[in-house]
Amino acid sequence: MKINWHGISNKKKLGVLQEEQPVEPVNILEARKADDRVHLRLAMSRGFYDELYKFLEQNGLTYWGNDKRVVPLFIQYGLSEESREGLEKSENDLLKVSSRYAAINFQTSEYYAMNQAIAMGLRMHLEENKYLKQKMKANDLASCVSEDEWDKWDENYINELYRKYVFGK
Amino acid sequence: MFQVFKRKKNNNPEPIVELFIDAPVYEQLKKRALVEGISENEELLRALRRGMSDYWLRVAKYEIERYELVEKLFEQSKRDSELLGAIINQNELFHEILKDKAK
Repeated sequence: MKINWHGISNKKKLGVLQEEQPVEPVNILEARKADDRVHLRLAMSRGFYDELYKFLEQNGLTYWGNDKRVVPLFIQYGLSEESREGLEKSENDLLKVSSRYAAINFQTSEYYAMNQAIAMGLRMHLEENKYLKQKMKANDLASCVSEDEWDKWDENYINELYRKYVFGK
Repeated sequence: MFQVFKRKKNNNPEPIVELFIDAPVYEQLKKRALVEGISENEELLRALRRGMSDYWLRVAKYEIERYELVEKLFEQSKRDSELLGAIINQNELFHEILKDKAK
């Protein structure tokens, strides 16, 4: 039992004792369109608010205002028509590949750093290679010189490698 | 004595949460509420509860998609690494051969 001072009826205005009204867990107070997004202003019951923030805290999702990013995701995920079976399959697939995933993630970053270092001086290395091949041929060492894949690389391909590894694009 | 008419302070106000969602998601919420014959508030609550329970499954799905992408990147960067490394190695080898030849 509580006194409701903010009700509409005269009885409530007079502060008559009222039975506690069940509050709707989520109440959309305002939905304002802003470009391609909608700004929602929600009033939550204390119970649901606590449930939501307890979930966020228990799952480590409250850091650096991350809750502002994650709660809209809950809405998006909750409205998705994707079956739970499909999602559970993804979870099982992830468990199967988790160790390889960690390994290739690390190895890719290693390769990336190595490629970045070489790509920085790629034009110089290719020029040097071309010069050395000519010099080998001139010194009767043509048998040691092979046709390599990089001999066919044009400016576009070299620029692409440069963009990928030096600028990370 | 002048505080007799002071409005009683509400000690337990409803928490207000403000957030942005994509416009198509909001349209979907309205559509779903209409189809289900329930209010937007009820549909929003259902969506939030389902989203919370499916959250880690969704993360798993995202990670699987990312895994496939990382695997492609891995294969590509491995191949590039082999080729780029081969240029450096070949240059060193040619330098050595030419040095030996000059002796």
